[in-house]
Amino acid sequence: MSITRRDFLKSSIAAATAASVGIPINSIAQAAAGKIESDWRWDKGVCRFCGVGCGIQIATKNGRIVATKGDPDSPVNRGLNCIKGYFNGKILYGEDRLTQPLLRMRNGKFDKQGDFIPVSWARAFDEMEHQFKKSYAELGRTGVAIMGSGQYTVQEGYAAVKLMKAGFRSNNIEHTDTMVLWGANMAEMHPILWTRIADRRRTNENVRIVNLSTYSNMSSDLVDIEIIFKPQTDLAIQNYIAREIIKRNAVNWDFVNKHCVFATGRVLEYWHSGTMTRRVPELHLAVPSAMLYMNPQDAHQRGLKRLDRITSRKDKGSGGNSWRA
Amino acid sequence: MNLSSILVVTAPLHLDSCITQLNSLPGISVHFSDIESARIIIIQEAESINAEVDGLKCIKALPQVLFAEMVYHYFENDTEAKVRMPKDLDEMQGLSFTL
Repeated sequence: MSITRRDFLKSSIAAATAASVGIPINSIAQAAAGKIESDWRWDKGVCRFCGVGCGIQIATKNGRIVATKGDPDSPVNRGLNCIKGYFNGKILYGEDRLTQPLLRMRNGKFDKQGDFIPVSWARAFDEMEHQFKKSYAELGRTGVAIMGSGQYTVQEGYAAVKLMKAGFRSNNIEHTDTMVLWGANMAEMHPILWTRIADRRRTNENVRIVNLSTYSNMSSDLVDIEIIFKPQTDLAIQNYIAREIIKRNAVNWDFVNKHCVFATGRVLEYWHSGTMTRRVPELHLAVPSAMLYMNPQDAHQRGLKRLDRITSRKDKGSGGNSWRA
Repeated sequence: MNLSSILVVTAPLHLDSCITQLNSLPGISVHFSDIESARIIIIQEAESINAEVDGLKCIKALPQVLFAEMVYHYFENDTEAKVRMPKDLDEMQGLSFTL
């Protein structure tokens, strides 16, 4: 009887899977599960695809990933992977993946308008260091920032925050004068940080705290301005802020002119007083002109007939729209 | 070569027919099942990631399948399908190996 390596791999992987999800298997199968992995090195990681934070294990052989599996010890996913996390190993070997640093260059020097040229890691780090130091020398701690992500492991997040706060002395609550809580009840959810905000507020009369929330909460006690909004209606607040920025001519026109492209057209389906507002590119493709669907009874009450030309008006402060023929 | 292990959950009543259905799908082999929890471990062999994803979708679409999600993913680029088995394992399983 012959057995191919493929069959052997299959039974090994099946046995390892059964073991990790707690399905009883016999000792031969168990031995097979361990055998295939004898020259692999298993390491633990966190899936990078969403905020759930599933634990994964990654096997490498000769510096290359050969297998991934859900971490059975992870309390989050208990050995399972969804279809995204499942391919964590494979994403490293995509054809279009960058495998070396590229630097925008012109005439052998870094130039933001230049073309991407492959450079060594040393060259890339030198350039990053040079640019970072330039900004830091020019503006100090206000000139630097870090781009973080929910995909940080706890350790990475800790290192990044320590680097910013202790190393570059940036992101310091003790130096800010305005704090906005938007959907965050900090007094209860981040009480340690909240005590520092409270200290800052108490010791400087120019400091203002704004609380945007769906209900008054513990944080409300300390805030200067509070806006309580209905769930999922805070888009109106964002629009209001955008309008104020324009009205007060506080627009960074240099940035807007260089980097923004504005387009008009219907991009939203607006219904149920906006609580279920959706983007509908498909609808726009199918029916390019604006149109309004309405319950026949509602239409009758408003004296509207089918195929009437309608004017829609959003009344200030009201939840809905008014329509007129 | 892409090998995926997939955990499939069905109702205890449907365990046997579910196994039959899974075995009839291309590239799928059923390896373990547990009657008490109505769980099945299968291996899917596929040419590419897209084929793997499509295969999983087919499994999820089976009427008796309540849940199907991947657990373990093995991939390598070698074209060598047959190599010698570890000797002690051959002996343990009472198998002899011929190339």
